[in-house]
Amino acid sequence: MNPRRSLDDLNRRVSAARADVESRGETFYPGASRVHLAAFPPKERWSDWVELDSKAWPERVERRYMLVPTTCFNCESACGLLAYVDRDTLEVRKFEGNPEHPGSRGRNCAKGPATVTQLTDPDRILTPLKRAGGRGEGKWEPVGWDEALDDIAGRIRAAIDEDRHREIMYHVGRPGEDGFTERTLAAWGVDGHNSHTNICSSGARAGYHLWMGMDRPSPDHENADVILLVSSHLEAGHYFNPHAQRVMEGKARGAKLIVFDTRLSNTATHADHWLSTYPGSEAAVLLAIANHLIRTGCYNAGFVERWWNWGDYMAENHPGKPATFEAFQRVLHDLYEGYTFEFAGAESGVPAETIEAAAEIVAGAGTRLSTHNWRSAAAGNLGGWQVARTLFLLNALLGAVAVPGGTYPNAWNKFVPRPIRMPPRHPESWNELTWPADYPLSLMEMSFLLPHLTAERDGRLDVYFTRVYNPVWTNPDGFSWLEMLTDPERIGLHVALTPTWNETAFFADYVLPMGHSSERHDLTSYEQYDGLWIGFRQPVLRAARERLGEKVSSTRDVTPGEVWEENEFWIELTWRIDPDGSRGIRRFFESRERPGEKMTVDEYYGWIFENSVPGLPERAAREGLSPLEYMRRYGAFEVGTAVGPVYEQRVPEAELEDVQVDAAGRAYTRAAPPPSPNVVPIPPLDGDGEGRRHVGVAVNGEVRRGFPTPSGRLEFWSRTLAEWGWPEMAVPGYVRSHVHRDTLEPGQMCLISTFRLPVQIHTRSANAKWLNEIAHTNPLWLNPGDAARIGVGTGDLVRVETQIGHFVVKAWVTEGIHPGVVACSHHMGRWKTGDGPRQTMATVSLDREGTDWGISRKNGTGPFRSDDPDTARIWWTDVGVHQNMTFPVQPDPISGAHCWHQAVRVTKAGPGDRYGDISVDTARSREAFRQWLKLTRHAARHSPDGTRRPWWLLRPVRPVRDAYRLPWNSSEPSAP
Amino acid sequence: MELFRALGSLIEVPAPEHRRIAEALGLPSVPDPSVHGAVVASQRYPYASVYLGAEGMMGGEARDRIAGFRRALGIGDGQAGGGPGDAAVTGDDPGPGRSAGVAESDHLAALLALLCALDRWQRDESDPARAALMAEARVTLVWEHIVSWTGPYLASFERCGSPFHEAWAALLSEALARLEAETPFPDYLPAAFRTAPALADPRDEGGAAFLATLLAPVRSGVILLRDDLVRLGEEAGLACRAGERRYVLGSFLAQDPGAALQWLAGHAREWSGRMVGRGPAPVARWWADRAAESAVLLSRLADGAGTVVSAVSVP
Repeated sequence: MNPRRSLDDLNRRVSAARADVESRGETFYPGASRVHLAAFPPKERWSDWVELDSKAWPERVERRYMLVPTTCFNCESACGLLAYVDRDTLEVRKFEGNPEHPGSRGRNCAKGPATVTQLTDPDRILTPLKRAGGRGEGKWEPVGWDEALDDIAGRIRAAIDEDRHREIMYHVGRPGEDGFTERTLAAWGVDGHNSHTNICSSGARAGYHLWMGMDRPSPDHENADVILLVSSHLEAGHYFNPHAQRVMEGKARGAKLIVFDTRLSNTATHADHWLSTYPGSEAAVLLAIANHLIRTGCYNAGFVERWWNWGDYMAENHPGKPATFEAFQRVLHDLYEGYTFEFAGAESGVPAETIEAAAEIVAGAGTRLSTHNWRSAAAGNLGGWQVARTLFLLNALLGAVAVPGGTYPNAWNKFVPRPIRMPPRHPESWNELTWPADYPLSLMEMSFLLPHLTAERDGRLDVYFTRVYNPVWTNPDGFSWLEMLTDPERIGLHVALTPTWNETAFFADYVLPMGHSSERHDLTSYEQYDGLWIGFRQPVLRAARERLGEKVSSTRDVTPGEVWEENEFWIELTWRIDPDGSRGIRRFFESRERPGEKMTVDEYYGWIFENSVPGLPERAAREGLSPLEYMRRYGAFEVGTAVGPVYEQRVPEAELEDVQVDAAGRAYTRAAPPPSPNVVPIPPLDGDGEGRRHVGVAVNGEVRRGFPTPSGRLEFWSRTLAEWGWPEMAVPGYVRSHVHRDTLEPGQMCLISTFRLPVQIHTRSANAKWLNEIAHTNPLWLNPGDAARIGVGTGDLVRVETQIGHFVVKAWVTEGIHPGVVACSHHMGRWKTGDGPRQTMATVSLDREGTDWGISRKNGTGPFRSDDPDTARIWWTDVGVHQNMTFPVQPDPISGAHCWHQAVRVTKAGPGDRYGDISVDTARSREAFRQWLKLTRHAARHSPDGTRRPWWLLRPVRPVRDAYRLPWNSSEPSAP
Repeated sequence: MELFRALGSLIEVPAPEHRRIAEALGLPSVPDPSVHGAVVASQRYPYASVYLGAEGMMGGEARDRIAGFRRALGIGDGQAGGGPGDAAVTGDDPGPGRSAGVAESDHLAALLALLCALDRWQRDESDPARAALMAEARVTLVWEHIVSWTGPYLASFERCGSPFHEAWAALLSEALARLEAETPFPDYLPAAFRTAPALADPRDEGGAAFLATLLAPVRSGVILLRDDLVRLGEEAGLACRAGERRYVLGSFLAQDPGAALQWLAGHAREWSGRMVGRGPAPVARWWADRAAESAVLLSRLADGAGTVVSAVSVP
């Protein structure tokens, strides 16, 4: 045989075999990363996968699994998981990564696989419970779902019928499905959405929103040449797993990593340049870098001229100067020339030459600069929103916006499929408890002020849902929350929807058990690279049973005990609020297929996947599956990649009808917007007043999409800020933080509390034994110099005094913290007064005398007997210290975000101090609330148009436009 | 080129998918994973760095060279860990300039998959200059990182006792020979050869260095499998102690240095002879010469065995 011919034949045979196998949607070559330890079972064998049982070792016992995808619920990253469902017992044995998930790509952090410990937690809530004694007494009795639903629905119905819509509130911690509960509330006509965001990301998001109309960054780390993080993003930041893996891939390609972090975090250790900035000085350093780019001409003038709203800025702020780009460039130069490396060095404590070196690297990035700030400095400081604004200034200067290696706006990298029914309703009333006119520009609800607003403004909630949220423990000023929750005049009925016991649920009237990530439906999509994907969270046992041919009509039938999923819960509750449909509410959850009957989740998702996800029906058909079957099988779908710079897209002719372009270049059209399957929130922009809608901006004679901002461009100068009372803040600038060195009193230090250990999950770590074993304490980071001054060493007790009280914690002396700054991780210090989770909650005595509150620890955790033998092996006793209760509310007057950093005094603990002691005077809390309230500029005095809030700013559950009108006339003496 | 990717995948841990790949290639039945463990995982490590690195271990400068090569192509260097983005392994390579990290870039499967990918990129490239760069990169990959070590590596599968692996090695050798014939190689030796010193003389560098370099193919010119050491024990009448190869070798030298060194010298001579015709002529000649040099040193050491044993750190 001719050897050449033979090899050619083999080549053809193997190519044909591969094509044949892959045409069936199967895997020809073994799993994706077989070369090393990781190995993903080929997807065609997910229905019957055989592994040896590790617990049976050394016996070789084979176990057969169904691998069912779902989405992690233990942070907002929404990484893909594969549940290993034992085919014999139909139990979930473990979770691993889902290689089909475009965001996480099969990789997970510790929190994903730990989901299995949440499912099997012996202290899990398995039955709906109703309070039997007084609130917080710890007495409960089981209650049926029907009774609970009828009671809650009855109260909501009465509130709606009696026009008390404001008394219904839903307060969310970990978000589930994009828009699901917002639509539910819209269907009810209730402006009752309340999120946790103002204690989380809203500071940074306000900064991004003001720049580009979209409020989240989507950095393309993978393709960047320079990555600049104002965060500890490689270990614990938002979307950290999907982003961290791409940061490392960027680094592997040769990208330089610059990290701003006061602490020597794990992220800082991976940096090429670590800048240990003094808390609150970040914007000064970023402006020094910006000044360097401007001064040396290393910025992308073409991009700036084309896409910044410099024309508006010049017209409004420098009317005497020529309205030319050259004149603007001179103004820009002068505006930032004071931000020298020396100035930034003095503010930050970072040597000027180090800042200069970082600036040089940024200057060399071209358009491949990816940047990210989520919480971190933006969540810690007064004016924190300017950190994101000054960070994005660097992208805007370089033109590193929505191009490969740059930073994209989230809405262009996010796909929210249009649901089967989209309530066109908007609440007719405005909820002043969540959107007070003192904070007209707050990005999100002023959630953490609720105890003070209900107390000082005669606020009452008749039905208050806390949903996978624990404000008593997570929010600042937790004792004020306890005062509110135990006051029946302020809270009529408190319903805690939670999978896990928590400090807030202890004070509820109903505790309704909700499912973990593998026990609920949600549809998710997040901006994690330049692409669009959807992830499907599903009850895996439901999907498994259906694969076996069973028909499952309710997720409750497959969850442990009487645990339920939320979507079915909300549908059922809505149906009971409007039992006969006369209120026009239940129609939004009525079946299309079976008019007059409730919609099922199968119909709901089946319709979405069939009609609202481009490409999915075709992809599914290639495998002989329906779109719903495809999603139940693979758990994720990538709708598209390489979205690119949407702002540069030409608006198609079909959308251009009777176009008018105003003096600022904004283009308006009479053509209706084309229908889009993607309903990702985008700011509504006003039309031209003559019936035309905003469609884009005219650039060199062509109408381009531009940005969803009032100017249609990147808003270097924010007319919104200027017109709503903050003209001095209208361009990216530096706000001296409330913990600036000059502000601190003698003996005070700055406490950083905005970081966490990457294995903690806010409230729900409480029943994840693996995670608890890894991390269960939060000592106070203390620089050796400060430790020597205070006279303590590692392990010694210290008392940390805040404005409203103090806590007692152990010291950890380390060079890894900036001198003059202390740091204490949140997500720690769980407590209970009686029965409750035993793995991670200390048992405490909760004492009150008037406004003086105290917590003292009776005992920590320890081993106990349960069905899970591991609980007898608990070797740790420490659970950390709950510091947040001692923090006053500190709302930023513009973004509304809580400014977490604290001015504290740290002293060696006294003889009476014991580990875990917490003491607070809530009268001082109220004083702090009033003190920060004085910083605000009330809409009644500063609104330019008589409304409460700029119409274009994003807002969940947007009320009707009339509700935006202020109830006060600013000229009236009674106006606030 | 798909043939190379297919052959590369077959040196990974056996999975059910391998059955149809082997069938397409006309190879014997894919063996049980335990056979793979005995033949490949614990003896014939499919990593270039083991054969081209001066330490004879996975990683180090030899793997860094490949990682740097990948970086220069604008693809992942393999240091960030594996995953579904492991395009060079899956065949779903996104193209140059896009990251595609592979868990261990010097694994034979990854190298052969990259070869396949480079071939496709070159064919798909519309810019003639970039296509020429791709062609150049392909030559470099084959010369520096594949045929520089596959000669001795594939030779080690002869008479390994697994029909599948013997046939696989023979087929890959044949395919590589065809590739070599079609590839215009440079007139200089691969970098690994140019920088690797010869086998350490224990009289000068001590016993530890001697044992370490004896187990580093690029230093000794020889591959010493665990099976070879068992044979050494049987043929030289020495007790083969259980442990890592360095420990076993040290034990042999402690028991009877003369006999052990004589056997090793013979093994090196035999190995030198086996290298003839294995790969491109300059490469085959280099391996044969390196093994022959080692044989000479080992023979000399056997003659003066007393001085050697004192130099070797006896476990």
